[in-house]
Amino acid sequence: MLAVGFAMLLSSWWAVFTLLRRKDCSPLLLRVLSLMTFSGWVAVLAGWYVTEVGRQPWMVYGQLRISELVADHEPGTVLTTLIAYVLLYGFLLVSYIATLRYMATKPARSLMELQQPAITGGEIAHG
Amino acid sequence: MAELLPLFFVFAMGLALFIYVILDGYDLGIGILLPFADDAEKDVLIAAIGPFWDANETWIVLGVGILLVAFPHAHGIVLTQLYLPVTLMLIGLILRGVAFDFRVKAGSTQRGLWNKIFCSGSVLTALCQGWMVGAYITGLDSSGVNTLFSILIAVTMPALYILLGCAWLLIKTEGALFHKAVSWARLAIFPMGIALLLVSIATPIVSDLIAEKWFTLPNSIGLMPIPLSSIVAFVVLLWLLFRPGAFANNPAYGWLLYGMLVLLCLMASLGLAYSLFPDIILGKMTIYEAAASTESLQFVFFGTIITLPLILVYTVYIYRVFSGKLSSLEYE
Repeated sequence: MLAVGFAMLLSSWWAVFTLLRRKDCSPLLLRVLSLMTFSGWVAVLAGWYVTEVGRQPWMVYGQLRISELVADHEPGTVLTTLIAYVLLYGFLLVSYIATLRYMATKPARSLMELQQPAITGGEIAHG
Repeated sequence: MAELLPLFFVFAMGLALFIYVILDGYDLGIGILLPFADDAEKDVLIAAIGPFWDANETWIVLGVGILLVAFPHAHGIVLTQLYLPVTLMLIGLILRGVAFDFRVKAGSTQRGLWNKIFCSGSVLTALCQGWMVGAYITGLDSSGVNTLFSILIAVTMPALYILLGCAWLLIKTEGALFHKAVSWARLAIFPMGIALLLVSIATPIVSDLIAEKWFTLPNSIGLMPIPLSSIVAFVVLLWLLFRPGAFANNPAYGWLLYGMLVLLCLMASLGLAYSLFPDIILGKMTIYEAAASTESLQFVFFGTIITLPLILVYTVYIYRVFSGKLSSLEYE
């Protein structure tokens, strides 16, 4: 989480200095910036993970233990739903990245659409 | 005062869940209807629920939130017993929620896939909610007959949501789609009516406690308005759907149909509330046993009387801003 935070700062400073000195970015900087797309997501997930693991074995710190509260489900039930969630989120993550790629590779077309004068209600609703 | 607080919260929870059914019901119903519309109509269907659907979903969060803060003892039991349908419903809601965006943003080659996911998520959500209502009415006791009863309600729920969705389309659309919505509603009304009748007959059969409450003499007479209003609402629905000539081009048509469905849902909710009261888990726990301490309830009470009216005000405001037919929406 901390490492990602510093990576965010460093990459943004690098980009600012480059842009101040010349008007162009190197391919390496562009590659780094595009990879940093996922930095916020990684930082949130890492932070959450640290909190959840760090809180063990407490549900409410110092008051209630997880073992006092956990429901008496069959292990099979919990395992099945866990696998279902992992598959669902895996599928959504792949779809999300694919959609980001698709949207990032068609900026020229989008600009052309924006320049058209009449925008109908239907298309507003799509946005 | 201390005895009134659990009553207040059970009323607020019931109100939130009732509003959830009549509001999210129509956008889930439109999700179920999506495969029956052509490609251009699919966009209109989604646009008809676009500004409303996520606000509609917050009502179930409010209902379950009240269950958690006001009746923590019941919350643990109810959600533990309903673990499987709740998990499946969440998967349905997640798929539906992301499909709203991905069907537009993932490119035209992927649109068909996301339309299918949107519909499947809506069907799964409706089925799971019916399953939960069924399990809840039978006191969360999953014996053979009770499971059958839950399945019966599970398949009733999509029919009710389809009707609410059709009524919403009659309010928001014109032309070919309007007539399609009338024909969809004509197909859905009989399964919904038969299922509602079966549920009304089956409820006192699966639960002796509920039978006793309804079929002792002075009570039966006082309760007559509930089944009578339901029958009247159903007859008016049939008349509206099969004699639309009487209301052709009248802007009140869709609203009247929607209003009759709301009346049906209200009567079903009142019937359910009477069947359960004062239990929060039928035959096992009353609202007073499940309630949090009076101090906690007092604290939450002030939060609720501030936020609930605010939510109602912005809900009314959203519906006023986005009122009217969709085809009249043109920005030049």
